[in-house]
Amino acid sequence: MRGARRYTRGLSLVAALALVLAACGGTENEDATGAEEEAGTDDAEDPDADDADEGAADGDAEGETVDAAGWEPDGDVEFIIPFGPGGGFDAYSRQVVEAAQQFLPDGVRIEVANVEGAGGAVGAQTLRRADPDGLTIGLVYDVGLAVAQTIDDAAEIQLNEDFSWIAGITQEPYTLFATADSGITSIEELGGQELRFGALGAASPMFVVGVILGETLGFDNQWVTAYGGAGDLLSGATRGDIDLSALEVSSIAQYVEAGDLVPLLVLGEEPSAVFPDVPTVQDVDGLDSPVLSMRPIGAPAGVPQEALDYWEDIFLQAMATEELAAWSEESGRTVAASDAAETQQRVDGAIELMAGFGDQVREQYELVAE
Amino acid sequence: MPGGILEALSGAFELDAVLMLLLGMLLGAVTGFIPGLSGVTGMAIFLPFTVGMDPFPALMFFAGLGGAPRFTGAVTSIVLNIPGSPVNAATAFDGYPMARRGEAGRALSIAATSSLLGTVFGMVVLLAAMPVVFSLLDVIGPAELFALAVLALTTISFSSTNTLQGFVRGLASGGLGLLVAFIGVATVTGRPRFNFGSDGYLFDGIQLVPLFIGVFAVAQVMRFAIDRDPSVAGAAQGGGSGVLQGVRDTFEHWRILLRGSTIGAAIGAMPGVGGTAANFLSYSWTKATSRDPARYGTGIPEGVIATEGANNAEHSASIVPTLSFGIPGSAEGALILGLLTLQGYITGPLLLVNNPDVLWVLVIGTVISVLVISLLGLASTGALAKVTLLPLRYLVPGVLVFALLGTYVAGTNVWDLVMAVGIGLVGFWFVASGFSPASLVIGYVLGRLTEDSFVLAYQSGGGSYASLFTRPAALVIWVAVIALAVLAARSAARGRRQRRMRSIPDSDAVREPGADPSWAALAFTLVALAFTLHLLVQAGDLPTRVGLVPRAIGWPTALLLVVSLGLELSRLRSRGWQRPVTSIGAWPVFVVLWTAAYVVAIVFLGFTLASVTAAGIYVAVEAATGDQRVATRRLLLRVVTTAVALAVTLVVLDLVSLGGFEGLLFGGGLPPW
Repeated sequence: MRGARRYTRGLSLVAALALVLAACGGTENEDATGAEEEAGTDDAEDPDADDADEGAADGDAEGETVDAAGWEPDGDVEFIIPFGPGGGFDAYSRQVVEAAQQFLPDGVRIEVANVEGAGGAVGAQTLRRADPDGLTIGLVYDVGLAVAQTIDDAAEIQLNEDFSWIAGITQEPYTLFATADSGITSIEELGGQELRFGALGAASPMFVVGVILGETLGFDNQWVTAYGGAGDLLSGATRGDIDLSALEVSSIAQYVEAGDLVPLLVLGEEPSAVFPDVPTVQDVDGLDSPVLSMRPIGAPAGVPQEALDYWEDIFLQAMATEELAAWSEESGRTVAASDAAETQQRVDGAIELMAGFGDQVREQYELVAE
Repeated sequence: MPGGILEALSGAFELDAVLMLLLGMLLGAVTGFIPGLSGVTGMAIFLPFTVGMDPFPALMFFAGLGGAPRFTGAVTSIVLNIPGSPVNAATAFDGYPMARRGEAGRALSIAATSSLLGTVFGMVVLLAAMPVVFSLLDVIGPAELFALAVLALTTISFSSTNTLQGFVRGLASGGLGLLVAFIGVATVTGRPRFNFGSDGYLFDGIQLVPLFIGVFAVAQVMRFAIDRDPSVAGAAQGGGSGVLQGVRDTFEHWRILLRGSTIGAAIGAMPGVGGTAANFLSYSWTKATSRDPARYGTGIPEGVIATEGANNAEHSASIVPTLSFGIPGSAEGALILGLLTLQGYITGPLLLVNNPDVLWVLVIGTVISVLVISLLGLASTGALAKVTLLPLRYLVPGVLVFALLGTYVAGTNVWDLVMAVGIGLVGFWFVASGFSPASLVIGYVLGRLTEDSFVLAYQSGGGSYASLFTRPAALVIWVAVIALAVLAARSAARGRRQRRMRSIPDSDAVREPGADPSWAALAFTLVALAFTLHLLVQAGDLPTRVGLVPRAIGWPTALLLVVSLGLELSRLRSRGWQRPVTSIGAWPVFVVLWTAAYVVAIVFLGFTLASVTAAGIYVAVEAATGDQRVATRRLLLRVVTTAVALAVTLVVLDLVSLGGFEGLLFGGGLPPW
């Protein structure tokens, strides 16, 4: 799948123009760096990157930043994004990859490829089938694939068998919210009610969240699942077509601020910085694990441990740069890095939680279709 | 109206912003010219390059990418009958007949003027009416969206011809388009259906670009290859003149422009309906209210004005809801939001409260780019119209290569190319049988909206369909549906009367020169019927919510196909069962085989090598067998120059595409089905 990289990147229509564009982009880049410098930010400057390069090349001389026992990429690297340009996955990936470039050896670049389709499954398939040489890595739609393997016992992609984890980019909990029109303001009001729960189809994270919360909080779901995208769901929610749904914190923050939506429960372990007063899974009996969108970076199973360590190191450094912090601050998209071990543990937790409600999920799934 | 206009003005006219606007326009203009590529594809391809740009230059770049293709997308509709994108599909109804009459210059000039005025109108109306738009968004729910989808589907009956058979086939084409849209994941459950055993490529269904390129570009190229016409304009000369006449036409028919732009702006304000519907609705509404509906489709300025005014107003208008709510109303809207996210803006309902300058920069950039492109378009109509004078047979390899290149860029999947050519070969048969590619595409574009809004109305209405007809706003749209249907019937009757009186040729005949397809049409109708029944059988096994709408569309479509079959049989009987034409000729057979071999070669040899070889072979065979045989030495020269020119173009394209060129140069086989 080496070719997939240039599909996206490549083939610009007017060659010369693309060059001009690249040149302009470069200029813009320098301008931006210049501005940061004035603001007292020099973390992302070249000298640091050079250090890292040498460290990697020498293997041990200055190896405190990169000590991956000598492994380093010997060619361009393909980074697969399982969704199209313009979404949250795309934005996170591109920002993190951009920040990571400076830590790579000279001449090595990470090329980003959007391999979209089937709700992230086509990208996952591509990554899963790539050569395990450490030169193909990518983002994995963890929650979505966990749902798929919950609904379908025979699902082809098995998260923990098919991928090795490198690092997580976010730890964004799904948040149960009510629409302003529903009049609901807290989880205590939900018990015994029959409520319209919105979801992007029945093989979606919010659907499974709805099943789990319906069980644990004691409400009945009346499913409204024919939404084609988060935008449609949100416009349905602000219009009052549904009573409840669940999305990541960053997707609903503005709608909460505007008074259209009311957050009821953050499916994380700690109170959310955005909604500090909203209860978490700790406040609900029967919820053993948070439901987090980790946006993990993974590699196909079989990649040598040294390569995994190398990438873990690179991306943890990338996520600690000030440029990424600045973007995160501006865009409201939180970056919360987790290392490989923690990512593994979180993904396991999500799979286990969902598997615990597998029967109910499958039963409700059939109900939606009838 | 949001503030921030002064900041936007000062930012938009800084040097780097202006340069990026120009670059965006240039790239946008080129994407518009290539069939299958539109502003949306351009934005998707170049979005990654904006990482690291400053916000205003990035926004201006996108304004150029989105603004410039609005006119250039109409150009191929007019000169080649190959719409640049679905929003320009109805433009070909009258634009192409004008070009065939030698009035390409005039038609292009009308398109440029209408694009500009439609864009400005859409902007002005939306900015002035923003508060109304806000309340509109609260009113437009699934019930209203379903009614709107039905309203837009009603236009299918207009875009078809005035004969009974044409009408039946037009509706059946729309039904087939809807059915094709249902292939892939059912939104309500998120699991696939009708996917022909695919869990890879076809999982998400047949994509717009290969379908569109197939039925329009590839099918049209087949016709170019097979038709005996020397060029689009044929014997008619003059092509490029009539620029001033075109501008005058547009102003003369200001009512049509105004109505088209109003329809466009209204549709643009509603998320999810889109420019294709606006384009068709405006065309059919104009035709329905005309005193002389039979002239539509024969090449009159009104047809071009109605469609280009509408799709451009829709484009402009759709920016406002996208930015005000952070809810993309279209793929283009989603990419603009993506750009803003990459730039560090928080998108959502507070975007315009916190950053009103974003809206203004896009408005300024769009207006400038459309203005400049339209003026450039007016200035260059002469050159553009020359295309209509080129020998058709030589356009074949060039147009095909670029249409497939566009498909490749847009979809990044080799299956898309196989699909485009496969659909194109079937599509040629489909068109030659008198079915309507435009109706097929509008059915396809509206398929998901129709089904999803129908199911959502049921689900959010507590398991009842009542809300579809009881909500007041939905009722208003249903009234419009009925009005349009009544007008359709009246204008059809009037049109037939007038045609009889003045012997205006059936617009079908104008669009499909020399088509007498009885036996081929009969065979195609049977194939379409088999496809429909196949889906119906499968739909019968699906759970209610997944199979209901496909069945509801499938049965009437099957019925229409049966009626069409009956009409064709009775026509054949009235002609004493004419035997099918036996001498198809070697040339059409060669063209079909050549096209199929070309796509196989792409799969195994890579795009560049396959294109160069295929073009060379085509030119050689054409020159050796054509009407004017060419001496061997000149023949060789011709083949070599063609091949070298194409090779240089493609290799340069690929080399400078920054990603290496191994993929285009070497074939990699097919990705998983």
